Amino acid sequence: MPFLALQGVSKGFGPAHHRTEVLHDVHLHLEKGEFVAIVGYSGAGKTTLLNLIAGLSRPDSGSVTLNDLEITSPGPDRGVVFQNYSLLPWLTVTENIRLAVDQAFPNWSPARKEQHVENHIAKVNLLPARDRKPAQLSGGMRQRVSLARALAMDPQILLLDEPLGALDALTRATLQDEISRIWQENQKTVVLITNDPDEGIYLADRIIPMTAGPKATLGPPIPVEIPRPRDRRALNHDPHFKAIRKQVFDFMLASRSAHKVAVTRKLVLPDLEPEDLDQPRFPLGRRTPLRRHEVKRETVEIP
Amino acid sequence: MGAGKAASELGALFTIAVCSMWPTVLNTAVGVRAVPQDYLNVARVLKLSRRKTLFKVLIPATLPYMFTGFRLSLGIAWLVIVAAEMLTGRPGVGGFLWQEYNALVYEHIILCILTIGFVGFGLDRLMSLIESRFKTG
Repeated sequence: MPFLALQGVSKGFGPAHHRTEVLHDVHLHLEKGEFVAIVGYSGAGKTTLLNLIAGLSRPDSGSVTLNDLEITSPGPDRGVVFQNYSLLPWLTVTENIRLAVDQAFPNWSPARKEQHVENHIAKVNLLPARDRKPAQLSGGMRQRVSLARALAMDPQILLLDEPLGALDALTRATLQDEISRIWQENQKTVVLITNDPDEGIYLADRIIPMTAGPKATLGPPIPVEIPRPRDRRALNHDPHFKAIRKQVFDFMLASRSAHKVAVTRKLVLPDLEPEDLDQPRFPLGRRTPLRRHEVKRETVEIP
Repeated sequence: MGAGKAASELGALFTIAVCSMWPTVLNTAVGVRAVPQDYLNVARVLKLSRRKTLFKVLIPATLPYMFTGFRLSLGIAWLVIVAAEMLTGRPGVGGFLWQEYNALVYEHIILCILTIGFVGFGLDRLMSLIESRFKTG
């Protein structure tokens, strides 16, 4: 029995007559302790998918189950790391994590909670910055706090929503290594959402490409059988890595050319004809006739 | 006479309250609406109770807006206090100002104007001092 299962999940937004289906018939099965990366174009519905797993929104059809239990609301068994950190700016690093620990383990003694918070700050190498506010931290450090907060709740599954999307390439690489190390220590189930195929291949056991939206769905999963710990420098020359990378790119490019995005909008053309000066001017009025403005519909196809 | 005096006092209080509450009310409403969805998502993911969401997320996030409201309200309240004193004739800066206006003592009127101005400024500074003592977003 899979640990996390999505069965025929669809989700759309907008009013009934003008509805855009973002996710269409998504199937996903995850075993316990697995690290899965989902790669997709930006705007394809990756975050929507993650919100469904997190329980922040409900699917229109299909089911999302964790341990055979339907996910209906968010909970501390699923730790979420948001793309934009989502730390509370009026709390320090320690207090931000403490808030999560208080919620996840309400029965622990204060000393034990303190110790637990301390351990997790140490785990992401932030001990020197523990009393700082998020505004005094760099992007990479903030994301580490966010990661520590999610881990401190000791969730059954960790959901990472483009956690490194807003970071520069070098910080990104450091944090990827850190995520990889932490995952090997805890062996938690992880769903990583990313728009960078290399990142997905470097970190995950399985990489699942997502088709371009709207009506996005998940492609066939591609197993990444590169032994851990993976070496970033050696990886670039690894034939297996190259093959997976090609497979992911081929799938995503093919899915993109299958859909053409068309934008339709209403164009209002201005009154172009000048006034006819030969005609006598009526009191309180313009010299008629004028060609009234035209309204046209324009469709632009983006290949 | 006693009942009338009590009534005028209550009326003055009521006028002050009604005049000065709106900036606070409106700013708080705007502030609550402006709470980023991210913070609310955090509250939902952490399963904060309604009470904890209010005190740990909503109030800290809206506090800057609320204090803007408080400062505006305080300014208005001070104006209305003076005006109410002028109308009800209760002793105070406003009452004194009205007396001196009727007695045509211009020095005292100028003095009242300056006093009202400086006290209003002091109150505003005091409120911003309190604001800086709170931890907010």
